[in-house]
Amino acid sequence: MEDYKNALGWRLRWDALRGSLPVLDLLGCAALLVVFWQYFSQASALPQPLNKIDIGAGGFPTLLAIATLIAIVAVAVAAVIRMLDPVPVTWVSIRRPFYVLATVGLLFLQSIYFEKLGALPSVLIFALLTMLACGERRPLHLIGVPLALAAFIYVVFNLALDVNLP
Amino acid sequence: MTISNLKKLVLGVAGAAALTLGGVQNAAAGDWAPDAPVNMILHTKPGGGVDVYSRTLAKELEPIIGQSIVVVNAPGGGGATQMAKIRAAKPDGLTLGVNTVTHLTGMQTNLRGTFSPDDFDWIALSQVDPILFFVSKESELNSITDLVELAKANGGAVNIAGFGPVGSMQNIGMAMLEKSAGVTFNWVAHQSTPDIIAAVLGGHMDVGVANLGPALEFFEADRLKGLGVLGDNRLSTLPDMQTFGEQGYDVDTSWLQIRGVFGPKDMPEELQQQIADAIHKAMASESYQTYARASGVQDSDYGPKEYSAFIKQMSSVAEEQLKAAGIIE
Amino acid sequence: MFESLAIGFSAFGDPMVWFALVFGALVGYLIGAIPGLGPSLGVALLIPFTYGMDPVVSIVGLVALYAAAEYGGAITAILINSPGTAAAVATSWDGYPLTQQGRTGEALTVSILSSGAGIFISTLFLIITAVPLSEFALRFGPGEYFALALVGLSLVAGLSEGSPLKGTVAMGIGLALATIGLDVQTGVPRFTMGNPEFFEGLPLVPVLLGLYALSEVLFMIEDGPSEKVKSAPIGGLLALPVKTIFGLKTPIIRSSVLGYVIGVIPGAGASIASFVSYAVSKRLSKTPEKFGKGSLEGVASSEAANNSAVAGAMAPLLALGIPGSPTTAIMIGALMVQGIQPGPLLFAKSPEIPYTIFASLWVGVPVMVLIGLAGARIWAKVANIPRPAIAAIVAGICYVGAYASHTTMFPVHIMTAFGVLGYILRKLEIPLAPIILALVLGEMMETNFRRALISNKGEWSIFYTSPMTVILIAIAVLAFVLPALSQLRARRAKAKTV
Repeated sequence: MEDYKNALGWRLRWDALRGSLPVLDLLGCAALLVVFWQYFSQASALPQPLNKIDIGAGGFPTLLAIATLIAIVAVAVAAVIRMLDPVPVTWVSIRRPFYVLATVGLLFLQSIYFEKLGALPSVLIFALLTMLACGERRPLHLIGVPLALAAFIYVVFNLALDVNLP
Repeated sequence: MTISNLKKLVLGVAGAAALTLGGVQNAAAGDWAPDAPVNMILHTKPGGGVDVYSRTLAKELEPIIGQSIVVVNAPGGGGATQMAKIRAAKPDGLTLGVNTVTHLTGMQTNLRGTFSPDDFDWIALSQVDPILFFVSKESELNSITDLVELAKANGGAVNIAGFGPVGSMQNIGMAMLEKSAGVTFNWVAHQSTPDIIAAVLGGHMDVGVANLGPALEFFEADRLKGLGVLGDNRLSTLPDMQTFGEQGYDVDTSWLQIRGVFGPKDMPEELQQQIADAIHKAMASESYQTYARASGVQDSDYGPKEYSAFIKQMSSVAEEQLKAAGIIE
Repeated sequence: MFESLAIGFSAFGDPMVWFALVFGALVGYLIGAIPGLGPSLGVALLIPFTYGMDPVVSIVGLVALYAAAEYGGAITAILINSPGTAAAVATSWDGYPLTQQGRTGEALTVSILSSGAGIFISTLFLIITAVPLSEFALRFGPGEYFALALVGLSLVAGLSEGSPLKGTVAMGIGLALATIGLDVQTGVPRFTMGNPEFFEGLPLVPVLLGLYALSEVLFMIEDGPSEKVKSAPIGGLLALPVKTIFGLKTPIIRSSVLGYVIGVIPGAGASIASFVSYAVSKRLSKTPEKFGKGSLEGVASSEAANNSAVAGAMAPLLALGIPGSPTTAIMIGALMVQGIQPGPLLFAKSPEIPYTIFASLWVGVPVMVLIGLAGARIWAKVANIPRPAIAAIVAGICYVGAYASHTTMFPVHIMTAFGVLGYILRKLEIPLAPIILALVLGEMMETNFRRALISNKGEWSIFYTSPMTVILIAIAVLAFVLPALSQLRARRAKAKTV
């Protein structure tokens, strides 16, 4: 595998994603602008307070939204300046993007099925899958670690702390 | 501070319903004997007043019913998380919850349409706790009358620190006084009683509102002065503090903070009565009495009939007050 | 006072009290080290066990647990870059780089020793100043609280690595997240998407777990099963020459005092204390460039401060009955069950309680440090567990921990969402610390801002007529502007050399 910290240039392959930070900054700013615009419009729609002295439920969020929108635009401007600058830009890479995406999927699945499966079974299943996604292939580890983890959780949470787990 | 005292206090306002139903209380036969552990679901995090109450009660209930009681903290949603769990439970007495006035004001405001008092059975009232208005020792105010005069003099610019937002239990108590005295005050919302006491002691707020328990030590230490108590009778621990009524302000004295036990709808009446009896029996225990006296609350012996009537009464008072304040339509 | 202290120490003639102390410290240490369980949940979970106990025994156990759990948050911060509490965020800034360099043992040793020193020093201050300082803290009104929150926020935005602009955006995100829920003053639901589960706001612990721990799991997935830097074995009782530790005495003492004073102010707490002390240490250090890259001074400052804040939070609780932190608020419940009502008369009515707390804080220090030093050896080995196993263990414990914090699924969903969000933000080099601190302080900032205006007829003069408010706001402005300026200067200098 190449030295990812110093590698340059755009890359969109299954084993590595890479992009220049200023361009990604602009994408991030666009997303944040949408979010905070939504936030702003919801904040300004909040009802006026009955007490005329109070700035109301929407007062602080409205001010905050304006300030943050300005800061987001400033980040975007800084990103554009950075792109025009002759100094080389920073590159951001995601290695093993396929496995990262798979793990994100695992996290969401776990959050959906945690209660239905019960805490211990879901810990067993998802610990095994997470280890696989992280590249573990030794069968003893793959079986031993989830079992040890489930046993630890049972002892600490169920027995010692008396927490009601599903 | 006796049970009969309280009964008189509430009967005056809960009206004929409670009066006529009062005698039914001991009609049910048999003791509550659940066949599995009982879940007691709370709407607060561990460690608060409701938590301490529930765990003290649960400890005394366990030997009486011969089953363990699991106290489950389900905070969130201003009680919505707890009420959803209870509404979904089987009406077999194995899932119960603890409620306060917050549940009733919530059902009128944020949770209007999501939950209503009719979704549940109201089993037993256990504690009532009147609210009182107080100032720091250095304050020039000595009575509710002084407070009203001050508000008249400077156009309502009197800061009253209380628990919860506009429309909360204590805020409604203040609104009742405003209406009766024909003045306005400036409500400043706080999130805990210690915060309120600190703000009043530090001179940042003119007047504080609280229940007796958390403020008691400060009265004893001569750091706070009481202006008045919203109830029919003076408090036995602070006999010098007059009620609102004694000072000439006519307010609904059934507006009390409460702690009671409720459960899912359609529980058999006999079972409800048995649960209520077990709770009131547990409350007579020494350790519960020690706790209750230290926290400054008063006991209540209302069973399902009286408590349901009481809840109805409080809900209508809340609705009326919230409408008058323009918080709900 | 010495007589009363003797009463406090005399409690330790009872073996049950020793048992409570060691048990509390051990449980606290473990609870603090488990992602999702912090001091307040730990104390809350232990309270039911204290019902049948003698008041002195139970209070010793709870205090030991509180102090040890506040320390335990540092372990995961150092080991896997996942602070267990907001107060340990600053610890992770230097602790985790040390782990990456194979210096886990050193980092943990410094953290436990400075925590112990912090508690020892701050308890001394607590005994002398609890009453006068708590009375002084009463003078903090809404204006002062607003300004204090501002100080905390601007310090973090100024301290975070990378662009100050991105730090500001991160702060905006955190403050916006803090406004979710029922409005404190009017009770109106805000940004709840019609879901009552959001009424009480975003729960902090799941957000913290998601942003730090789960996003770290995704980073581990990226690294895959490749070899890690092995942590150096710990030799001798200490992992470090005594000289190195002695060299850290200045930041430790300074941070302990700062942490204590900030801890006394109700509501400010351990997180502001650790950030302020970290910032002050960085500014006064001879080697400020090492901060954020594995500075032992940084770890020592943050840890000494957040543990001193424990003693600080005790001051208003014991002197006035006003809790200084969420954990002490829960302890009021525990005391009340025992028939003790904390209030201004506590010292007069039951002096054995405060003085036993003082004594147990002191006696607890060597116990806690021994547990910590022994634990450091084990944790240094944990750092060598293969990455896939660590990833699975962290994720598993996070899910169970998040569930346990409310016993509902809501915090689990929140944690998962913030896990993915945290990963994206870290890739975009948007710092996480301002988000967490803004979430912690946002409500304090907004409610006090509005309380200040409401209680002052809507006039803004309240923010510039109180000297304390003015000083705090000035500090806040400087804390934000100075680092930004020096960064700008550094960049100009760099541009010239290129």
